[in-house]
Amino acid sequence: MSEAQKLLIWRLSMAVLMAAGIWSVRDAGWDVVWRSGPFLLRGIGATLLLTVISVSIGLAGGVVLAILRLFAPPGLRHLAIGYIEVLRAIPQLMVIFWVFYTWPAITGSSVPGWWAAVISLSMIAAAYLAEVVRAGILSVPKTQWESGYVTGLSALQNMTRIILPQAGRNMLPALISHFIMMLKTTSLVYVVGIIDFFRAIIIVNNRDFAPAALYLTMAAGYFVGCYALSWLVRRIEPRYALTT
Amino acid sequence: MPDSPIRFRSVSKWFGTSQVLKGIDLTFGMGHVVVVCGPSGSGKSTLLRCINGLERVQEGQIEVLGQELTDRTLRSSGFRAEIGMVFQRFSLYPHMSVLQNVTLAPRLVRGTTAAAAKERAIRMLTRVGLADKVDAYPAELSGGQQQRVAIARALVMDPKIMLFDEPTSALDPEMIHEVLDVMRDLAASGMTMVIVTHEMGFAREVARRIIFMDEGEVVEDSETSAFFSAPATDRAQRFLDKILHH
Repeated sequence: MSEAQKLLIWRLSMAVLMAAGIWSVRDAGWDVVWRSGPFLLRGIGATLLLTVISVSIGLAGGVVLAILRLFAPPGLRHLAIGYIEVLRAIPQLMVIFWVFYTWPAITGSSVPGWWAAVISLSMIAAAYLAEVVRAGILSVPKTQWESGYVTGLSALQNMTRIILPQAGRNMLPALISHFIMMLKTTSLVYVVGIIDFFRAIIIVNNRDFAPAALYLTMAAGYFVGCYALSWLVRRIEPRYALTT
Repeated sequence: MPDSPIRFRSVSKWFGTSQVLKGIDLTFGMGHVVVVCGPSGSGKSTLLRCINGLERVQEGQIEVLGQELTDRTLRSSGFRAEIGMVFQRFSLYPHMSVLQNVTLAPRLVRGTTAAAAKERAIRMLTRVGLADKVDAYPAELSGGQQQRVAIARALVMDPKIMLFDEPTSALDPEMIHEVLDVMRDLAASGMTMVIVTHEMGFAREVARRIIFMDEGEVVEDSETSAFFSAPATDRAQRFLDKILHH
């Protein structure tokens, strides 16, 4: 049997399996998903929005934290290390509880749900991304720093023009996986009353009970969301080779 | 301009507990080409990197272009740009074209306009024979071409001194000569150069003076012809024997 024939058989059997799978869930209650479409789409929108905002703020915070951890004088450096290590060590749900419940309990002023979600998710993203950025910065050869320094560039110019662009490229794969991780972490914000995609599915299921269709929809929704986001991030990858 | 642009006064340096420079006293003349050689680990690269503050010393003073190297003088970007440097490898910015590599510092440090910086960059690239590569990226160039761009990038700042840290050591043999040719031209133009290299043929031809280092000390400091015909020390003789007859 030739390779082409083997491939054809392989593909045919996969297609049959998929068809059987789809056939088996044909009566799972897809009309529920269809009827709740707009509601679920708003949920997906909330999830994507939360992810993009918290990763953006988290990335900016992560750059600052990474630079502090690498270059700041001892006091500041240890503050940065402390923040990064503590935030990564505690459950993410706890950070949301802190912001939403503990902070108002201490200060007496309440934090609206959306703010609590954005603040806590950004705090989490910053801690994780700080380590990604730090690894990215360390991946740039020392001679790159020195070349900028000896031609008179300031530390800031060196960082923004020479180091970070290269670090950014080197850390892209890790950045994408953290992006995906954050997309899923957003499902925790249901505790502060935000209807994200996860919560929207639960609500619809509680009302209409169609777990097979709804949870398959959930899986598909998260998968498409992750895939779309990582595709977008990969698209901005600068096109140059690093093999000098 | 002082007649000795570089002056070491009893300079000592340690990396941790190991002493890499041991009480170095040296002066370098204006417009002179000096080659620093010696076995690996002798401190020659460290000596070179002290001249532009890439390495700081724990003891002694270094005076460059009439100024003592301190945190304050080194903070001046204008001062640092007076001392050009070419590294062994990995020094071109891989995310920038050749033109961007050469124009970055003039634009950021000297505030040169983009057009003026470009014109000057092309002059320098022509000088190193790479005018046709302005739009190439470093990864598209051979090692020798990359080193010539690195030289152009240093020259574009109009430095008073040029430092070379084993500029040909990472190159394939057939590319060494093109880099040495550029350096030879530069020497002929009267540039003050300090070169760490193992290319003894080049040293013999271009250098006015050879400094031989071993274990953090200047073992020998002689006129080039004297060094090659009759080194004063056994250590230098052994080094020459090894490097010339391998």
